[in-house]
Amino acid sequence: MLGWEFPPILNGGLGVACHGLCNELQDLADITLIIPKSKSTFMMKNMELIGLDQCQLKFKRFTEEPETTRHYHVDSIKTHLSPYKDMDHSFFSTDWSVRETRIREEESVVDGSVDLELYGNDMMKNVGRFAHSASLLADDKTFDLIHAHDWMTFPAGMAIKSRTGKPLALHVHSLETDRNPNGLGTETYNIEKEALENADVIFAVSSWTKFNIVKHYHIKEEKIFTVHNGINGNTPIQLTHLKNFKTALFLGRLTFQKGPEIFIKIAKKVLSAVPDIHFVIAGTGDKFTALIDQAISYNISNRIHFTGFLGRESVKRLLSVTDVYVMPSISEPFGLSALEAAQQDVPCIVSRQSGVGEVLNHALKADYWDIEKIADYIIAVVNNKALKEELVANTKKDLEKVDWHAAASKTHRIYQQLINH
Amino acid sequence: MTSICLYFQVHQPFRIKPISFFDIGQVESYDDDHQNLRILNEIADRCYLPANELLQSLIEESGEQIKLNFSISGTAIEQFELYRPDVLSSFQRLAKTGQVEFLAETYYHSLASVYSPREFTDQVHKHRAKIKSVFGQTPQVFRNTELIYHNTIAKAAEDLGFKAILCEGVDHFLGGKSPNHMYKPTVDSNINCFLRNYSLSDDIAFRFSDDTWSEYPLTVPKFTRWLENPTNRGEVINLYMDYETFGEHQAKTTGIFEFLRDVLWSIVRSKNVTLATFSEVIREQNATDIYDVPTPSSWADTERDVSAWCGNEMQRDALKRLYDLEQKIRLLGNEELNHSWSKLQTSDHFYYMSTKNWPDNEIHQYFSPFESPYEAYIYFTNVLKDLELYLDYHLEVKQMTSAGENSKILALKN
Repeated sequence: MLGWEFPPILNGGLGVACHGLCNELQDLADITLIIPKSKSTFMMKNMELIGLDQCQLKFKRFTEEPETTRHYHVDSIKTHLSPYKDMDHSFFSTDWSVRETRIREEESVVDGSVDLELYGNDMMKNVGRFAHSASLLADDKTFDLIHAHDWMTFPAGMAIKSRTGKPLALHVHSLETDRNPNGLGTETYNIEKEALENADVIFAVSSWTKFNIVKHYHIKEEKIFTVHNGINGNTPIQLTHLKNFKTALFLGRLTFQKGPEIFIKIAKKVLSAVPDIHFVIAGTGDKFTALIDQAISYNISNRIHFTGFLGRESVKRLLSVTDVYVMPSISEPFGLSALEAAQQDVPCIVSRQSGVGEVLNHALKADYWDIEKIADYIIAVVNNKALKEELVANTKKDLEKVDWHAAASKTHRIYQQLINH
Repeated sequence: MTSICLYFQVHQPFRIKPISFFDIGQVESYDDDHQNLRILNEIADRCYLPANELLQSLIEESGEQIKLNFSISGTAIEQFELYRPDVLSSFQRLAKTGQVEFLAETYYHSLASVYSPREFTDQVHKHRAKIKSVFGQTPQVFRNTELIYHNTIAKAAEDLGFKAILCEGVDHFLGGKSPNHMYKPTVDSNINCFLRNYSLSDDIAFRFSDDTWSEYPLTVPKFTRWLENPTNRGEVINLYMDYETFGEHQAKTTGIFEFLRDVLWSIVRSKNVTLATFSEVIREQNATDIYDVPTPSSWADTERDVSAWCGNEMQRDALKRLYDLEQKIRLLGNEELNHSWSKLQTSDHFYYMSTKNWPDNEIHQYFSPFESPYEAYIYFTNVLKDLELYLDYHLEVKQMTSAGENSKILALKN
């Protein structure tokens, strides 16, 4: 299995989802997970976890033998982990490229760890390095299939498939067309498209994502399977202090895809009729300053509150004082944060363009552009105790059905079909 | 000879528009005219007209052998008057044959029996008067909305002068007794209860086209055999169902019309069973046995209680807020406002808000014009809010006018 993010190093939902799935899947299959960065203190009980930054690669090349019989040896050693950089900063280490050169030049023995940044300006290069190293590592492993999570690991998946002929499963947690309104035809899109065409099966985190894979990438529906994400149990924390105003919450990266601008438009609409509702925007991203300007120009800045980036505990505390959670995403492959809100007994309003709505039957749903309807929902939820209670009580039942075990079982079933095919 | 009382319920609600919070205070009408018209047209063409035509011709052919019972809600009659007078005429033609008994119910097909005794009485009177003026009959038999029934409602119906009341034959209230007998609610009551045989009724209404049912397909000889089955027989077998079963819930292509025609002929020819109106049955005999129902029952869902309309927080909240307006409505005494308020009492509005097994509850989903029970609640409470503002406005005007008159009188006196 090839991953990009994994605990304890988390940026978005990808690492959380990858871990959730592996945690259940490790009892059903033998998994070796290769990721760019790992931490030796973080272990999985039943699977092998290889962080490229943590392992020493020794490439022994016997030049007189054909390429396919090369032997590599991998030893894990403990090394210092370079600090994790925020995605806003561009940073990458040059160490790897030096070693890469050495591999080519010396063509005999190479050792040393690979340190590459998860996100940043040089991502494309890092994706290439990951593919190269991961495929070298894979040569030394016995396995039945390849499972790659999101486009950063797709080239690695394809490389391993072409070297070993093993079936390739791609897991799509998000698509370039979700992340980027002008995503069609970008370099990332092209990587995704090539990989999706190359894949033997595709796991999509929602039917919404499956729909988009068919629509934007022209992939045959038959090889795409929806495997909804799960969520781990979480006991709600109690209200930390009394509050006497109503709060609607936006939680997520402040990027176009998540619809924060729409959230402010909704706020304006709500405040035109109900002036005592407060709107909290938690998260950070490229739209941050533009959003502040938008709130000021609407003359509602005294009702819009920006928290910046929040850690998990702060998110829980914030949710405990939230009356309604709003996810106006323009395209959201899944939307784990809605489930986290639901776990804290917060009623959810999600856009129909969000995968999470497929598992939350009892969330209120509207198209992301239907600002009046979402505004209507917010007012109705904060003003009607009966509605709020009913939503929360029924959402609890939805949550009982959302679990990683079901996702892992379905994944495993498809694995077996793939191997026996 | 066992009487077969076949009763069909005809009802259409005035569905409301999806009224946004931002529309409150400027809504002219709550009714979704467009949708109500569309649905009525569909059902008229698929069910009411062809079914009425079929029954009319059967009655004409059979002489006086075919007897039927209908209850048509006030809101359905109003919609016929508004949109489809041809449908109303076809019901009136059936009434003229003298073979059809029309029952009384709450005019607005409401839950007033549960929430307001005074409103309940008003609506029963209103419906009785409407049936008299439209069909020329004064109803003698009462059926409450969705067969909501318990001992207290039976007493209320008796006090209103009815000779019989319809209800569901609920197993745990029957305690092993057959629904095919005549019952009365208490020892000293003078009203008869006609209990629905839900098994035989639902064989037609729900299971007729269900090919997973072990008895599928339901043939006329088979169904007649069940009706004639000696172990089944008492004084009366009551088959109650929505009239929309014919051509709407069960599509024409399932053969439901042919089944109706042939089963009626089969009963007419039978030596063991005969068709009857409720009033005919009670003219011949009255109940002695007791059917004790201390808590509300109904014919809805598997629970057969009132949880389809007041089972969750939203439903109870909406109902409470609706009936909280009653006092203001009565203070104003404005016919038009009263009508707007009363149309909101129709049970369907609360049925749409049911979260029971939603979204897997196909029957609730089938009837609802809204995407979710939450939308049903949100739009309904927005309408309530608008109505409340409107009532407050009228009350203020009224107070100002009467205050003005008082001061005039005072001025004259001085």
